[in-house]
Amino acid sequence: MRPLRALAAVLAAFFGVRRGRAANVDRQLRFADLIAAAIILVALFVGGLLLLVSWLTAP
Amino acid sequence: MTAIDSALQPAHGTAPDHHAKPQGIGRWLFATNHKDIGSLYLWFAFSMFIFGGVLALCIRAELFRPGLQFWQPELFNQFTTLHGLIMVFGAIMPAFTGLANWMLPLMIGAPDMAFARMNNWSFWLLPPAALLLLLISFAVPGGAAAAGWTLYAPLSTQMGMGMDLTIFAIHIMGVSSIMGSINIIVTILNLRAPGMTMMKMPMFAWASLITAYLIIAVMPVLAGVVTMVLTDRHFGTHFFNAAGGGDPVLYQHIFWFFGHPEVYIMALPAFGIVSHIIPTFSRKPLFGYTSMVYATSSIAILSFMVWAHHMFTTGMPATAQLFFMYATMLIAVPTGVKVFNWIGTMWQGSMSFETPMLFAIGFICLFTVGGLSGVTLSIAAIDIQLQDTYYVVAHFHYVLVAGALFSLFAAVYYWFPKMTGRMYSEFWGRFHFWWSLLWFNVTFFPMHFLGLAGMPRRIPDYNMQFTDFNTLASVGAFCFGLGQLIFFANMLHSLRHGRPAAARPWEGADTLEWQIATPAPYHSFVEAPDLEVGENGRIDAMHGGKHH
Ligand code: HEM
Ligand SMILES: [Cu+2]
Repeated sequence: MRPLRALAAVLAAFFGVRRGRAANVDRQLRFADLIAAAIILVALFVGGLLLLVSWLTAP
Repeated sequence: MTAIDSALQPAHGTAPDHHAKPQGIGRWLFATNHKDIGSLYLWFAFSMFIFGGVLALCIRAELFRPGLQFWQPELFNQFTTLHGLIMVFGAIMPAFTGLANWMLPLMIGAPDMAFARMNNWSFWLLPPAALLLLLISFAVPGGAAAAGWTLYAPLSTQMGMGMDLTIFAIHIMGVSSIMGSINIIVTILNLRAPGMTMMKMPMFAWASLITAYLIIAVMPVLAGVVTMVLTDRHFGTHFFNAAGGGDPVLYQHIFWFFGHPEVYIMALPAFGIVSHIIPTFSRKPLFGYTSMVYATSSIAILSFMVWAHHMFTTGMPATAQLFFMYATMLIAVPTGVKVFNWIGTMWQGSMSFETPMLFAIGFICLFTVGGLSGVTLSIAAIDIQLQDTYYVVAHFHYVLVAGALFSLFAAVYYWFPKMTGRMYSEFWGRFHFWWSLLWFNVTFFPMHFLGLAGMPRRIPDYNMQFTDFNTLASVGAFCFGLGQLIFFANMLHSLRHGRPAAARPWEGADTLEWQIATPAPYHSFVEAPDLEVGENGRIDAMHGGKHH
């Protein structure tokens, strides 16, 4: 459950909006989980964008 | 040291002699007090701002009308280059470090910066670097660096020794800002008073912390790339020399890997400052504090993934162009959310419009204009038309002058009472704001049109059809410059003769620095207070804490 919450927190950060109530729950997250979630999501972000643009420019 | 001995003093003892303020020139040369070092940084930054401003006026004088009036093209290029370098590394960055030095310990309840002596060294590295850049390099054979502040190869691999001096200056300033950042990080992570938790601490502390990490991450990249230029110039390497198997485009990749995070280094502290001033003068807590913290960190991370939007014209594959275009547009989302948060903070607040608030609102409006032209430029197809035109000059002055610089003015007016114990002149402060706002727009708004019409940047001469807007911009620039003298005079006069300030001159100000005497005691929080803190550093209760 906790790793999922870390993912949600990082996703919210990408968007720039987080509810106060959710943020209170985030406070219980472990720092390591957050870092891992951030790395995974950044990788997904870059990978997803790469897929999208290579699909768009495919002949 | 001082903090430790004084903690050993009996509770009600008066400060013995060796705790008195050091006097004379030694106070500044051997300064370890965060307030003294902060002041040194701020004065240094201001003098660099004046130097850089004079260079800008030299540029604008030449561009007042077409043809060559005053300077040879070589000298003109040196002016543009040094103007850019001095404003970025001499004015804006040191000014933010100076503010962080002054205010962070007061805002988080620390006795001083963590490494007081290193702090001294990080400041005193700056003047020699400025001397190298400013004075000496104009005097050497071939003159100062003339490759633009980006120092692109192969321009920078040619040129005279002015380029070597510039490279050396960049190394020194890089070391200085890395040491400054280490200090900021350690201070924030380790010296917060009990109760001042990370998710409660002031936005300015968050912004400074994240900026410090960015600096540590990218200044070495800049140092590396200019060192590669240096070895290309003198030691027979061919990193950027196509004839020797190198690649000049490699320079641009490395430079902008530094360069884009650098623009956030100049923007995030501004966001932090505005996130205090807007709530104070709206008499409402910051809307979406947590979101702001989250967004600031994610902006910092994502800022490493967009660098090639500066390079759309280098012949990248379409896939790469689209990648950097989309990534750039996406990073605008969390930035835009911040603007909404500030507006949400003002919404239904009981606002008043003292000078700091005016500059903060000016910041929001004009930074948004700069952000909008930025998103426009991120569209690869448009950038290919506009790259290296005055449109770009307009864009980055909206984010740097109306963004970073306005936020700095806001901060100086806001904290001036706490720093000096006196009020500035509100009339001249407001005058300074409206004057700057007017002439800033007169100077830089027409540059959008010039760019759209195709006028290239970094040229001393131009075609007849560009005359009107250039003349207008030049008049605006000189008036803008004059206005800064008003600021200077106001500060100097108020420093001595301003009306004494209350401990909390702003009704809505609720962070820790406003809980202590004004002017802030020379040694504040020699004993940490016990705090009850709300979001954005709002102090609900303070127990204990000693100063002298
Ligand atoms: C009085 C205010 C200012 C005026 C009138 C002014 C004017 C100019 C002009 C005319 C240029 C040359 C454009 C070109 O030919 O390419 C320029 C370039 C530049 N300015 Fe400013 N400027 C001002 C303040 C600032 C500030 C505060 C900053 C930084 C934070 C800044 C950063 C830059 C940079 C980075 C460049 C690019 C230099 C280059 O082309 O290498 N300027 N400015
Ligand atoms: Cu960029």
